[in-house]
Amino acid sequence: MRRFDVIVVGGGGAGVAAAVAARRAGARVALLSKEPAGYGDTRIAEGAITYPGRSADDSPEVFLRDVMSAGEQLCDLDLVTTLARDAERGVHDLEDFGFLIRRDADGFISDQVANRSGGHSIARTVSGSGRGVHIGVSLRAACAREGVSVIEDCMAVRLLTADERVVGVQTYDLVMGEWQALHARTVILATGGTGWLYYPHTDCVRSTTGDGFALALEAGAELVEMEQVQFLPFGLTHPDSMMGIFCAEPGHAGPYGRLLDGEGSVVLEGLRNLNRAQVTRVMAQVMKEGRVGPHGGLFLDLRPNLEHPDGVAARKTIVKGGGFKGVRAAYGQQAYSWKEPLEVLPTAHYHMGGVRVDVDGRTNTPGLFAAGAVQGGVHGGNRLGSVALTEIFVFGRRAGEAAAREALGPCHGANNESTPQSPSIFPGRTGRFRPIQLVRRLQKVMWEHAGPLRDENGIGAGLRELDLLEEDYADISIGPAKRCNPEMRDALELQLMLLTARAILASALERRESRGAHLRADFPDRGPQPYRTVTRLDDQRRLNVTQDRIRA
Amino acid sequence: MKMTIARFDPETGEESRYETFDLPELDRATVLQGLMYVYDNVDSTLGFSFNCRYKNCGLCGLTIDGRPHLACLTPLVDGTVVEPLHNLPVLRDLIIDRRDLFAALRTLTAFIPEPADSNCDAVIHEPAERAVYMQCVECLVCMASCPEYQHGDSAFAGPMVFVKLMQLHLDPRDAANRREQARQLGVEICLECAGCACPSNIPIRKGAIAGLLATDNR
Ligand SMILES: Cc1cc2nc3c(=O)[nH]c(=O)nc-3n(C[C@H](O)[C@H](O)[C@H](O)COP(=O)(O)OP(=O)(O)OC[C@H]3O[C@@H](n4cnc5c(N)ncnc54)[C@H](O)[C@@H]3O)c2cc1C
Ligand code: SF4
Ligand code: SF4
Ligand code: FES
Repeated sequence: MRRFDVIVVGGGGAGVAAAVAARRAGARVALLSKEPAGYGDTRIAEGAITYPGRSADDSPEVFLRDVMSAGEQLCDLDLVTTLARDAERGVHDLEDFGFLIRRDADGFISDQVANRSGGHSIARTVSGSGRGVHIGVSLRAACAREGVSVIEDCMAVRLLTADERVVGVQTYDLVMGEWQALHARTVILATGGTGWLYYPHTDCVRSTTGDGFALALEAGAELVEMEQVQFLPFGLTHPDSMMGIFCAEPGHAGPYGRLLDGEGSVVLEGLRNLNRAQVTRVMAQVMKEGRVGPHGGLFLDLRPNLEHPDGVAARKTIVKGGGFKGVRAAYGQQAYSWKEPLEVLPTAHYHMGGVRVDVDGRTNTPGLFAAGAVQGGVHGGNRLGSVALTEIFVFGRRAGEAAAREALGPCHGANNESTPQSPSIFPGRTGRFRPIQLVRRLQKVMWEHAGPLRDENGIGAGLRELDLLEEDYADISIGPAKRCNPEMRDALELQLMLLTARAILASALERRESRGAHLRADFPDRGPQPYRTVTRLDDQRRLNVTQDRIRA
Repeated sequence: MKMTIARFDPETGEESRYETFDLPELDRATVLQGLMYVYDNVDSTLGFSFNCRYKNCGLCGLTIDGRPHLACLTPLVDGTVVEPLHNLPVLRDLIIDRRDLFAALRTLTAFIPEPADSNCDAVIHEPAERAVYMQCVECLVCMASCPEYQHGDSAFAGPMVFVKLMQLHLDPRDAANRREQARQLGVEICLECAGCACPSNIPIRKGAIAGLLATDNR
């Protein structure tokens, strides 16, 4: 049995920022990750990061207002205030780790290198030549430099608790096939989002199976706004291998870009000035009416840009900035040149909802913290582009510092040992279903019933499907291999996916209105009073969703 | 459509065997999609790695019909044969062990500017040329394509490490002598060689390695 002061679960930006901060505060820190450290969605990000204050008319207050107004009254004001105040420091931390942000001709990160990302009122988005990959490399460097004990290819399967306090993590080594109990005084979840629950309708990495949401629930923590899943409006639709891969942002549509339905009629103009939720909302309606193209999508028509000099200029800038990269491979040169409409479908990209935390990442379960995409509350109903990377460094660091402080502080009760449960999932288990078959069924259920447009009947059907999947889960087979057994990973992830999926569906049922990224065909309007959906597991391990008032 | 896949079981330690699978015709399928098809529909004990499905994560490198490439970028054709990347230790089937390599990069301090005192207010002029080397996704395809590289050989670090050193050589914050370091890591061997493959189109031999071998004061 190994002991640490702080265990961080997740090796993306949030996890490493937390681990480094905890180390710097003097704690012994272990960092777990299903892939090598520095991967996760952080690694495939475009690397666009919000760095407020590039121009004189920007300030934390202006940034705060942008985030709050996008969130459709669901943002947590304390969290957003903290984000706005700490944002610059978060970006400084990233450069301190080794990433290099692009400078202007004089060598400064000025307004000249900042872009105005969709929904922001001011240009404050910067980036660097290395994109997400180099953020990932910098994260590995930071771990090495600070002496974080990095445990790669290792999955957190359950949080260990004693006297209602989290005291460690039960892990499964995906390479060696060994179980282990790691004890610590505090644990930080930084496990990323839920994109893979929607595969193939996602641009997120395979490891985003939403593990942290389920781990938190099982340890008694509350989740908020689990129904708020961000679908980027423009994902690719074909060939199959590229379904869901990022195509473009609304801001990439140029001044004259518009959206057509499957029959070629215009359904939306002025795309460039709309945020992700606003566009996805219209698309979901048209899709529901069945006015779709051959691959089930709508058409992003950028051709009108080519008739105007400013449209042509916009294309140049956008393509140079890396937009539409996937388009050439998927749809060919004509489409890449904007000479023909692109068939697009919304694709799961980010989870706004998540673990309920205070400004230091503290959950309501003693000893448990959360940061990054797995945390809830910051973005409310809609996340603005390029804020996620700022968020992970701001809240990762805060959670790391707070978790270290608590771990190194006075002792917390006598009992901090917990015996791991004996696993019911093991190599050589026989049964009727291969885990991946059930995973694919779950993903289909989520896209159909918890996708961009929902209604009560569909959500009910989705929940019943999950009941069946849970029954079938008791009857899975797993190959005999001990080392690198992919079916073990599928099965362990699926167990957590089932609970996270249920939390999304149950919250979607409870929010009887359309707000933010959550659209209900049966409640198309926004309700009069904003409220939170709060999800927890009750004593009988039943999922329970309630509404909470939002403090004005 | 047929696809042949090398299988290796670390628990028996026996030599790889080859298994052929029947696949339906798929629209412009990639090798990764072929593997996922087999995994989903036929045999989910098959070990292979991927994360992003398109070009970004660098985890899906494989030897495809004898040549290393990313599985998510390579078209699947009838009779394709896939094996793990050469020159690297295999964990199972198509999964290679990259942990030693990352550890080596750490020891060589080959991924961070030294000394690291970056700061957003510092005036920095990044050479435009650096951007092309920053496209490296650490897929190890170049390592697998190199006739000189051997896993565990400390005399010759291999092409990916040279690309990293070039990134650092062009990083205005980095104070270490990366050309000297490259020479110690065997880069001169490359003088005799035509060059290595890179799915991210990095000019490894003509750009990175040439830059490290140069004696000008750039
Ligand atoms: C294609 C794409 C492009 C993007 N571009 C941008 C951008 O340009 N700007 C921006 O601001 N945002 C962008 N985003 C969003 C942003 O990348 C993510 O929101 C952010 O990186 C999330 O960071 P994270 O650390 O919370 O999670 P991740 O980076 O996803 O890391 C999660 C980590 O947790 C680990 N993990 C998960 N479960 C377990 C478990 N059970 N046990 C152990 N480890 C576990 C994973 O292995 C991984 O290491 C993009 C997202 C995508 C998908
Ligand atoms: S140029 Fe050097 S690194 Fe590249 S293949 Fe030849 S010997 Fe290997
Ligand atoms: S240099 Fe190219 S081939 Fe080598 S690891 Fe980097 S991206 Fe892969
Ligand atoms: S799957 Fe990520 S590069 Fe191929």
